[in-house]
This record gives sequence, C-alpha cells and structure tokens, in this order.
Amino acid sequence: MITRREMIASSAAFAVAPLFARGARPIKTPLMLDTKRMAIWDGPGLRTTFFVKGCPLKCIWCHNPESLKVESEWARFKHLCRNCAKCTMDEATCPTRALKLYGKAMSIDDIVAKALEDKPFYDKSGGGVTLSGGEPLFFWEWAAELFAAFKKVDLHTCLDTSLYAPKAAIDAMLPVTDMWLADYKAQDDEKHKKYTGVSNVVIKRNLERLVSEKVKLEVRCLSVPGCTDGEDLVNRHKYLKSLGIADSAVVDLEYYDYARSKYLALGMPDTMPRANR
Amino acid sequence: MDIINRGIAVVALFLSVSAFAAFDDDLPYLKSKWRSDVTDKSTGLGVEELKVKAEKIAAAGKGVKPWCLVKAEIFKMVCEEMSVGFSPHDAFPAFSCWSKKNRVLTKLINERIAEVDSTYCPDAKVKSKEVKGSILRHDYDHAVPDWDRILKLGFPGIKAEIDASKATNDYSKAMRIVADAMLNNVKRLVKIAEDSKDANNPVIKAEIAALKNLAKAPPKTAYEVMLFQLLFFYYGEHLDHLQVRSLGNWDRLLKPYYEADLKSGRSTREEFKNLVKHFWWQWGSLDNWWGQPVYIGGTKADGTTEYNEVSRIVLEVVDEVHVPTPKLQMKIASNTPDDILSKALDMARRHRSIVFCGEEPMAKAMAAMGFSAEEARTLDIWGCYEFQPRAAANTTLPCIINMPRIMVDLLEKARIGELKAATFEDFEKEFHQELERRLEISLDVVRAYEANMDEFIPALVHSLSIKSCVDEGKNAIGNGMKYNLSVILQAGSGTAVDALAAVKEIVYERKEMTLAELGQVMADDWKGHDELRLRMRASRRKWGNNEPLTNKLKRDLYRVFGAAVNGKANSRGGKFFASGHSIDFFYIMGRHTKATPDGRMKGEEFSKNISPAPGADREGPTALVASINAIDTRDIPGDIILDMMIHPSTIQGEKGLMAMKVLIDRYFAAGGCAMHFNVFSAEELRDAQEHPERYENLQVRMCGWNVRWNDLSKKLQDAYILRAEGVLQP
Ligand code: SF4
Repeated sequence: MITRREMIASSAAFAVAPLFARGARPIKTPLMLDTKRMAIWDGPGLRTTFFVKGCPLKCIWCHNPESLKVESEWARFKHLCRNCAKCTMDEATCPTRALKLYGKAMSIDDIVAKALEDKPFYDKSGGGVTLSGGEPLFFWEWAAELFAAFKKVDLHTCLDTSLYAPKAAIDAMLPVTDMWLADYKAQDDEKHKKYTGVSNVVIKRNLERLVSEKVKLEVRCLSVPGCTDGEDLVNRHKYLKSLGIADSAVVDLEYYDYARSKYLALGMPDTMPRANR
Repeated sequence: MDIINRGIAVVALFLSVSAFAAFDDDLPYLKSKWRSDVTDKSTGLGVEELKVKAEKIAAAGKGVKPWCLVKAEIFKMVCEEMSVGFSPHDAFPAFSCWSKKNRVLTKLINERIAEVDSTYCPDAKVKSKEVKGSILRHDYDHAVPDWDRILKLGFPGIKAEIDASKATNDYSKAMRIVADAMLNNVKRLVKIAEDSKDANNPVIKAEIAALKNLAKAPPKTAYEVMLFQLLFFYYGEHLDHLQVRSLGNWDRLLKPYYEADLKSGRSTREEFKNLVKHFWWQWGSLDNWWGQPVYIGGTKADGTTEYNEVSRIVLEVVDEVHVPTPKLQMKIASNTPDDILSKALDMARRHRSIVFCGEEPMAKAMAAMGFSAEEARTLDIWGCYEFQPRAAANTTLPCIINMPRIMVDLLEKARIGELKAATFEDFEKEFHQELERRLEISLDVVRAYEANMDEFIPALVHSLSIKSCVDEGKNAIGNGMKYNLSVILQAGSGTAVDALAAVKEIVYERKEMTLAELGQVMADDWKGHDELRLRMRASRRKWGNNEPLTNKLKRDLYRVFGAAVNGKANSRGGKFFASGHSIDFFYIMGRHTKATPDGRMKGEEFSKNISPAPGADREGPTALVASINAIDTRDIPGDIILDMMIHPSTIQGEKGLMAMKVLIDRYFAAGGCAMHFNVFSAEELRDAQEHPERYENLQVRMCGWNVRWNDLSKKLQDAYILRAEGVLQP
C-alpha cells in the first residue's frame, strides 16, 4: 500500500488535489462523528454507516457541518441546554444531552466490532457497512486499512465519497470496496468551485476511472435550488450518460435545509441556501 | 326441498350478500349499534329488567341448586326474554345486552367469587397484600372455543351432542339447558325477524333465511358462518359472561365456505368483502377498548401456508375500515406469502391494528412448556398475542408482578437502615431473593384462588364447544381441559433493569451517594436532584441498546423469574408458566409506584412487555432486536412480546418494508414471539396532541390492542411522545 508520505511526495497528488497536502490534512486517522445503524439509504440492504470527521470540500449547503473540520468540536444545543450552575462539559453527565462532542477516536478494531453487532441483519438483507463523512478519502490510507479489516470478516463495503481524491486513493480502495456511492455536485466547474471550494476536474477523472474499472456504482446528484438545479442537473445527467452510466445507477436527491440548528450549535455561519419546501 | 323452493333459497342468499354492496350507507347504523341499545323494545326486555329477573332466579336457587344450574336458568331466561332488533343496514341482529360493562351476570359472579373466597381461602387476600404493588386476582375471563368443531355441528349439533353425552352430573345438565336455550333463541330470532316491519327488505329476508338454516343445520355459507360466530360469541361473552378471546384461525375457517359460495354463484369476491366489512364493524363498534382478537395464517401439516384469498380480503378490509378492533394477529413463518407480509407490514406502518407472531419462536416456547410440535403448529393465538394448544387448553393470567416496586421497597429499606449491600452484586442478589419471595407467595395465593373456579365461573357456552367437556361433563375453564395453565405476568422488567444499572452507577461506580441516600432521593421523588434525574434518564446504559450490563441484568432477572415459576404445579391439575407480557399494567402500576433510580419519577409508566422503558432504546431497532438474543426466551415461555417504536422516515418505501421484514425475521430468530410496531415521529404526535381534530383516525398500539390517539389521556399521550423522542432518526 502507498503510504501517506509517498502520496504527499507524489507531485501528481499535489497537482490534482492540493488540499491533500500536509498542512491541509494534519492527521491520517480520522476522528469519528457518528454511527448510524439500520441505514437503508446508504447502499443495498440494512447497513451500518460510519461517518468520519474532516472534508477537503466546503459545500455551502453541507448538511453535516460538523463533519467539515478534522479536529473535534464541542456543540451545545441551546434549545436543550438548561444553563446549569456549572456546565459539566461532559457528554455523559450533561443532564439533557445538550452537549455533543463531535469527533471521537475509534480504533479500527472498535469500528469492526461495532459493525459486527448487526451482522445478522446484513446477512438477511444483503447489507453491510458504509463509510461516509466528511470525506473518507481524505483519510484514504486509513480507509483502505479499515475496508481490508471489514473484508476479513466478510462484510460488504460501500464507500460514500465526493471522489475528490488522488489517483492513489482510488487505487487503494478499488480492491476492498464492493460498491461506490459517488456524489456528483455540479457539471459547471465554475459553479463547482464557487459552491464547494474545489474544481470538479479530479472528480470527473475519478468517475471515469471507476466506470472503466466496471465497479458497482451509484452516482448521486443533489440539486440545490438556485445553485445546482435546472440546467446543471440536466447537464450532469447528460455527462453521466455519456460515460455509459445507466439511468438506474443515477439517483437524484432532493435538498432539505434541516441542518441549520447544527450550524448554530457549532457557532458556524449558516451558509445553507433555502430549500424549496 | 323442491326445485322451486331451492331456487328461492338461492335467490335469497344471493340477495343476502349483494344487498351489502353499499357499505358506506350502512356505516352510521353500524357505528351506533354497539354503543347504545338499538333493539326493538316490543320484542322483549332491556338489560336492567333482565338483571332484576336474574337476581330473582339466583335468590330462589341459592342453597337449593348448584350455581351452574342457576346460571343456566338465568341464561335460558335471558335468551327467551331479551329484546332484539333487525336493521336493513346490518347483516346481523342487535341484542339488548350489548354493553360489556353492564352484563346481566356481572354482579352475581362477583358475589359468587366473594363467597367462594370466604369459604375456601379466607386469608388469601391478606396474604396477597404482601406482594406489594403487584396484582393477584381471580382471572378467568379468556376462552377460545373449538371453532372447527362447532362450525361443523351448528346449534342443533351442539345440542345433539350434549343430549347424547353419557355425563349425568349437574354440570352436564346445565350444559343441556344452555344448548337448548341457544337453539331456541335462534328460532326466536327467526320469528321476530319475520314479524318485523322490515321483513320484506332483502337484507332482513336474507338474514331470516340464514337464521332458519342455523336453526336446523350447521352453517353452510360464509354468511352463515359469520352469523353463527357472532351469535356464539354473543351467547358466550355477553350472556354467559366469559370473554371469547379469539374468533379463531379466521382465513382457514372461512376458506371452504367462501370457495363454495363463489363456485355456486351465491357470492362474488366483492360481495364477500362487503359482508366481512359488516362483520368487522360488529366489533369495530362494540364498546370495549381491549378489543376482539382474531388471527390468520399458519402452516398446514404438509408444511405449506394456510394463507389464502380470504386472508387477502381480511387485510383489505382491515386496511379500509381502519377500526382499532377486531385486532388482527398474523402467524408469520418462512412460508408466509410475500405479498401478504408486505401488505401487512405496510399497513402496520400506517397504524393498522396488526400483531406479527412468529410460528417458529412460538413453537420453541411451546416446546419449553412441554407441548408437542403438532400442538405448536396448530396453536391458537388469543387475547393480545397469547397462545395455547388449540381446543386443549385454558389459560388464566392471575398475577402480574410489579418489578420496579421491588427496587422501590429495597431502597426504602436502605433508607431506614434495614438494608446494606457492600457491593452491587450483593444488592442484585437482594433484588432476586425478594422477587423469589414474592413469587412464592403469589403462586400460593393463586393456587387458593383457582382451586374452586367451577364454583364461580361455570363456562357453560364455552364448555359446549369442547368435546372432552361435553363427554365428561366438565368445566372448560376450571380444570376441565387437557392443559389448565396459569401464567404469571410481569410489568416493568425493563425499568427494573435500568434502575439496577443506575444503582450500580450512582452508588457503586461513581460513588455519588450511599444506598441509603439514594433511598432518600427516591422517597423525595428526586426533589433537589433534578440534574441527576435527567442524567439517569438520558443514560444510554439502558435495556434495549444491546449494552452488556443491562443485557446481563435482564437475562439474570428472567432466569430467576422463570426458575421460580415455570413448571410448578397449579391447583387445577396444570402448571404455572412465566410470561414477558404485561397487558396494560405497565402504566396502571406505574401510576402507583414511587420514583426509581433510572430517572423515572413517581407515577410515570414502566417499560411494557419485554420492551425498553419509554425513550430508552436510543441505539435504534437493530440494537433493540439484538438485545433479545441476550435473554433466554425459554425463561418466559408464556409470551415474549416486543413493542417497537420506529421513526417513519426510517422505514419509508420499498427499502423500508425490507427493513421491517429483516427486523421481524431477526426478532423471531432471537426467540421473540410477537412484535408490534408504533411508527411515529415525536413531531407528528405533538401535532396530534395540539390538533386532535386532524387526527381522528390516528391509532397507537397500547399493548395487545390499538387505541385511538384521541381517546388517550394527556398523560398517556405524553408518555408516547417521550417514547417517540427517544427514537433514532435517520
Ligand atoms: S451540562 Fe448540559 S445542560 Fe448543563 S449547562 Fe452544560 S450543556 Fe447545558
């Protein structure tokens, strides 16, 4: 496996994905945000989805703003907080669960053990585990190691990714990923840069690579009102078709702006565009 | 019958079903039918007058005749004298003794119970007080007739069999009186209908034709089967005062009649379905909130499914009429057709009244109780979701142990210095020993209560349905069946386990206070310790999260419970068994039980059945189901029921259905027998509380039954909202 050092040393990696450079990516092993059991929308069957913290993109509509930074963050949900005389600053003893620590260390062994708790449900439904985020490929060496561990215990693996990652990451993940759930956010590169902070050139290259590797793939197209809806969505569909991706493998997602309270709790400026309903 | 007459009969029967095509027009009448007395008073007496007559008969018979004969005479009098009614809007007759809460015999039976107690077990009631906060009662009110047998016999056949019985005891004499009275009542109904002003209405005409046949033969058409069932139910439950706790394996029972009707051209599928709607509404409007059970499905001897077209029609009817009762139970196995399971699960998502019962885990539980595989295959589901061998068993539910109360009492002892426990293990041991002590007393009291059941509840109508009781002149409710089972229930085992875990954390791990101090906090209902209370309530170390400590505590608790109960002899020649069922005592007992260390305040409801406490299962449905693997379900073979609260968005669409299927499959694999779904979001329930007018049809699952949301008290609604708040959202 290619190490992070090797990846950073690779000029290609710098060229295609500058955010993967040392400064922007201080840690190799991510903190974990959350675990969602009985997930039915993150791949086939019943699944457990693990969310990593940290993402090289900065989508203005991100519905997981807690996943952007790689460092852990405290959030305090004002509507739950009862302003105790002395805040416990501890999730376990906060009486109302108003406090939430986003980002906790979890070893690969712990993650696998957690995943195995629902194995009977995967077996019955053709499900498995999904890695999401954040951006799992921001930590691709770790992700490849984790997926190898999943494969060792015979778990079906799905990767939920923006595909904003160096070629080496795709190389590392290909052998251990059973299904790819790829976001495709905007066809117009100017829009892509404006709304996500990065260009879609790398993403398109990786998407084409996955098609050529004939992997099991689902492409998800979110359409954000006033940003990436209408013509851009039509153009994305056209492009995906031109790659030979079947319509059935393209899923259009509706945009909701339900995550505003999280921006507030984290003390972040709320950048979410308004949803249609 | 000559050709012309036969032709008329066929036309009349055809009218009988096509006449009900306009179901919606009949609905206002059907809704009112069992909520008030709609009988024609010129035909006979109302319930208050019947009660006066009944008391006279009882007074005259007292000390002169055995109670079973007195009861039979009262039954006969009511059959002869009650008022009845017929309506062109209804395929079934109405009776004056319509109210469950005001039956002719209620007062007399209660007097009998008091008399029997003072004669045979004067100190049982005093002794029962030692089992603090629990319920010890005379429970008899459940009967499942042998529907297969009596549908073949009809009313004339039932009479012929008891007349031919070699039994000569008083009980068989009483049964003869009752069989005769039932048959005569059918004849009386024919006469009244023929004399009624609507006698020429096609609906009444069809009803007359069907009643005429029931007066001389067993039912031959699907309509006659339904009429027979309603009459037998009515005679048993309303007149003989014994609840008929199942209408039987309905799709299997109705199939041959439905097919014969189709084949002969008597009825179409649509007409049959409309008739079923009328039949369903008999119970839909019957004013008993605990509901009328009926079950469908099962497995034939050759391993194929019992589900058939009648099952599909039943599901359609339940979906369309959307009333809380009859409450439908479904036997689920690997042979259950996918369209049936999918439809039923989709209906459960939309709050229809359905319980899913696993054939395999029920068979496992039956094996633990010593029943054969064949008895398990053909078992009857009754009541909420209880089960027993068909036509061979009776079951009483005479005791409900209040598990959290043990915690309350132990902490009180600690508070006043009478209990010290150096380690948590010592404390848990105290808890187990106290449970064992309470169970020992309970079984003794139940033995005393049940030893003389014949003396207060001769179940005459019901006994007529059971072959061995007819042959031997025995009471099918006392000790007259092959298996006479007494099942001990519990309420709040999840709450008790969470409370144990909380004691461990507060007293022994974090050492925040002593056991005595915690006892004081509980006695003060958490006053001054709100933060601790909220923290304990929010804790994830609660039963239902597949969490090691609470898994172990629950397993050990059931082990102690089962060992103290299972297989012990009762006083009716049968055995005791432990059950995970709690009926509605989880909130009745909760109301009267002081605070518990899991964050529960005084008066708040407990966990129900084997389920987590409200809002405790924060790890989601898979963790909840996986938790069941931690317990040995053979410890509570009487019944193993899980109530699952799911957020609607988790189980949307086809994938959501798939998820539900996987959940029940894994739950059954873990040994769980029955599963309910409550599919709600807290927001939806809050909105329903604020705007009841928008949620007229919203139903929630109470225990074995659905209730209309708007019928719940604010307190109970709040408890549901609390539970929904704990539900994981995607
Ligand atoms: S402990 Fe929780 S409720 Fe109390 S002040 Fe801190 S965040 Fe608010």
